[in-house]
Amino acid sequence: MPSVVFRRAAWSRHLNLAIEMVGIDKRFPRVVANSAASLTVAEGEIHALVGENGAGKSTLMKILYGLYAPDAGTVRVMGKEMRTFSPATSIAAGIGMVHQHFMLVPTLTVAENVVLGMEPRFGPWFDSAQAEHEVAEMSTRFGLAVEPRAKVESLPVGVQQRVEILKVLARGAKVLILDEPTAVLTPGEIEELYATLAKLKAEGRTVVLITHKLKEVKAASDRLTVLRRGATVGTAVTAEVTEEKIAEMMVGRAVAMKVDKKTAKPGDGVLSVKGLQAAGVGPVTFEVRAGEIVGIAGVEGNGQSELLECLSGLRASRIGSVALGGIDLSRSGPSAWFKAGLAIIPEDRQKRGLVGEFTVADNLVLGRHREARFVKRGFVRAAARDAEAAGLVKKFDVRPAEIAVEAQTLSGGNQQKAIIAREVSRQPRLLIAAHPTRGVDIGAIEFIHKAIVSERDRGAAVLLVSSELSEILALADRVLVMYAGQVAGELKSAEATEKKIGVLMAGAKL
Amino acid sequence: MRRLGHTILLRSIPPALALGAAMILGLVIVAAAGHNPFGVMRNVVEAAQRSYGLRDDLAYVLLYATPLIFTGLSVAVAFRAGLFNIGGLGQVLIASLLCGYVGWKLASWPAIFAVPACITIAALGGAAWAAIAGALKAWRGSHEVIITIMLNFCAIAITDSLANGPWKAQGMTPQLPEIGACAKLPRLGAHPPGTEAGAPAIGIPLFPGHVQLNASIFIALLAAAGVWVLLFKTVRGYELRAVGHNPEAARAAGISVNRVTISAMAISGALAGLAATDFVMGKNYNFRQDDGLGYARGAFIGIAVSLMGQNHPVGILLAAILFGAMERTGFLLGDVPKDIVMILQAAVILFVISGNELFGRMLARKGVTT
Ligand SMILES: Nc1ncnc2c1ncn2[C@@H]1O[C@H](COP(=O)(O)OP(=O)(O)OP(=O)(O)O)[C@@H](O)[C@H]1O
Ligand SMILES: [Mg+2]
Repeated sequence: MPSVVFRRAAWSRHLNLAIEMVGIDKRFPRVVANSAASLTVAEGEIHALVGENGAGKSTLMKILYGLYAPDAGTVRVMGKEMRTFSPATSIAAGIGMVHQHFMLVPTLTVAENVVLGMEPRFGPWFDSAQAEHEVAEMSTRFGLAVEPRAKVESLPVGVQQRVEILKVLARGAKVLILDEPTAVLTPGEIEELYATLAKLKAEGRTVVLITHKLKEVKAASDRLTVLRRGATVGTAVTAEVTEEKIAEMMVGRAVAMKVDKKTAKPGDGVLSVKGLQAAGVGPVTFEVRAGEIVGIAGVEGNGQSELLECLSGLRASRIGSVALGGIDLSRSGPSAWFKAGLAIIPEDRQKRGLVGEFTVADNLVLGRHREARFVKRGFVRAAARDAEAAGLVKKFDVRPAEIAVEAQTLSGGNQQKAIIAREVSRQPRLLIAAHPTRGVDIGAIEFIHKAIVSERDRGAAVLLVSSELSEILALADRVLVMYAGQVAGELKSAEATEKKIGVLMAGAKL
Repeated sequence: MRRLGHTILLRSIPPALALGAAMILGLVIVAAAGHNPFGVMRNVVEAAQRSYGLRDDLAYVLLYATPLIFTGLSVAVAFRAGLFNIGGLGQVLIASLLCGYVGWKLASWPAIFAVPACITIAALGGAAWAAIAGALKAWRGSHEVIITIMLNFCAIAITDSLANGPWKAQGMTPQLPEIGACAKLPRLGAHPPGTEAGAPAIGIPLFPGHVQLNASIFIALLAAAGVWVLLFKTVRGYELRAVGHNPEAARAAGISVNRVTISAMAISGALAGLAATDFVMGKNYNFRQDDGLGYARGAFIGIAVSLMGQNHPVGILLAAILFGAMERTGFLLGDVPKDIVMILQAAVILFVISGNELFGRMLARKGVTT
């Protein structure tokens, strides 16, 4: 059969190129997401895709996965040109994608989720024993420890992500795309993830990794490609470039990796928490004073989320008291907290921070929409709202600088910037920042850190919750470490080190 | 402004396609039933021009559209707040009963007070009835669909017992006495000499006098404008839509989801209740149980109207007129069973839902949002 021989020959010529994307253009109604972007990934490598928020990384990968069709350009997978774009064709071509926001069915078991859409059958029935067997086998083969019978909703994010990866592998993916996989993981989970990726690579699979954490780029990837404003601006062998160099390629200027801040001059107490107890937290007692940043470190799931809900009126505290500026708010809802001077950057921006279907302008006044300047006799003052929004978008460099687009079309990092812009613009007495730089690019991190410090210097009390130790160390004047719902220890910024915090985080004593 | 035009264009594509598809389906069914579809179409066109001609049809279409505007708006407001109000039947019934009662008792008042009083009681009655469901949802977490269905049955029982009992007019029929002349809304056309002497009329020459089309259609238009202003121009509308899209985020932003839930249901109920201005004040001139029940059942078509109108007041006006036109067509079909109209309506709904979904996916692939 000569034709088969011919095809095999053509195939082998490209054997070492897993992905070849050339001259990709993708325009959305008001935004150019990709223009002449290109990406070449060799088979069996871990390739990092980096770039600022809104640079077009997710869009480029969604094209590869068939979710969007490009306006121009060619895509080759394993040497074969893709002509139609749909997830089905991409999956058939061996592409798999783990999205930043997981796409699992929470009420189904791990095994059921993994085989969803290609269930093994026993006659007309779903063969759950077979499914569990298959999943268990894959789990050992790839070193992705999961319990096939566990309900997905009961699992921590790190494990849910393993399920996502298994799901992709079960569909025979040779190329795995991971879009910001580590943004929501704990340090331990991150290490496990990278061990898994190394194993997949050893098996000959190819990985494309989107991340904003340059340390991870350095540690895990073989080569990297940098996107800026939709276009590919460079590619490099990771071992040959420094973190600073990568940052500069991304942003187009040198980035200060360290915030310089003056020593804090704490004033009066602003937030006072006394013996607070609620489901999942407590008892905790601490104070945050005006003009200081108190950092809360801890492995995620040690009561931080519950504490934050108590401190914003979303969860009633049963025992103890919390007061903001001397007003007891233990039994109050969110609006009383805001009135007393709270601003909060929530943990989950999609769920709590934004109304995705609203425009950016509407989102930038969400929660402030009843302030006198935005209302006139019950009517929205659209002009005032738009002026405020335009100012914030400009000041906080939200891209695109368009206030009339739906917030859900913004890239992840730009959604985060929009929320921070809104909350800081409240001029709060107390600013609670939960993972403020999650998913934002290195240039924006610098900017956000500066903004938080300047809020402190303005006299606000700042409570910073972060699972990034480097962020806590860079910003906090005082560090509280949470373990099992309680404050396991307190450290002054001068004495706080990654090691000491790590010890407390693990539940041990100093 | 260009964006607005763009949005309207994009949003009207699926309903238009659905309508086309439903028409084709309708013709196929007519053919399957053994009629010549083109012959039927010709008959309808001819029948439409008979007697009073197209003026007649226009008046009827608007007559049928009036309650659909009210109930369509009602469903849309609830829907924008993330609520499904299928209690339009009960709200229309209760409002009509109260409206009929007040119109009867205030017979000696001057029209300038009686008319506003009747309109207000209609709105309040519907609002209070629906607010029960809103409050149960907000405070007890009961699902509004279940509650509004149950409230429909309660409303039937209440109106039945009052129209049969203490408020009953003389005679056999379960109905209230006639409302005072002061509470009647004028007909738009002139009434033909010798008929319905009690009916006030504006006498617009365009509309033939024997059609019951009345001034409540202006109330419907005002309500549509009001809903538009409420949803898109006021702070309350902003909060309502925020809750509808993302209640978690709304709550975290300090918006009281409970308050929005109750008030959205109340507004929704008020809009449904205003249909009583058409039924009691404009058409029947009293509350009559059997007619009232038939009239209130039309509230279910309001769900379809809202859906087809994309929960937007402008869309709802257009959809109500379309459904009114379908209803009118039913009377012009001659020997073809009138059921075809119900099939058409159902087909339109199905095609709109599936069309929206498909079209939305298509746009999402292109990255267009409306
Ligand atoms: N569906 C859409 N409709 C309109 N604009 C979009 C859509 N999706 C993405 N965009 C725009 O395209 C640009 C690129 O977005 P993309 O999500 O690819 O960025 P990214 O590089 O992944 O950023 P981040 O690091 O913040 O996730 C952004 O300006 C974004 O606003
Ligand atoms: Mg992205």
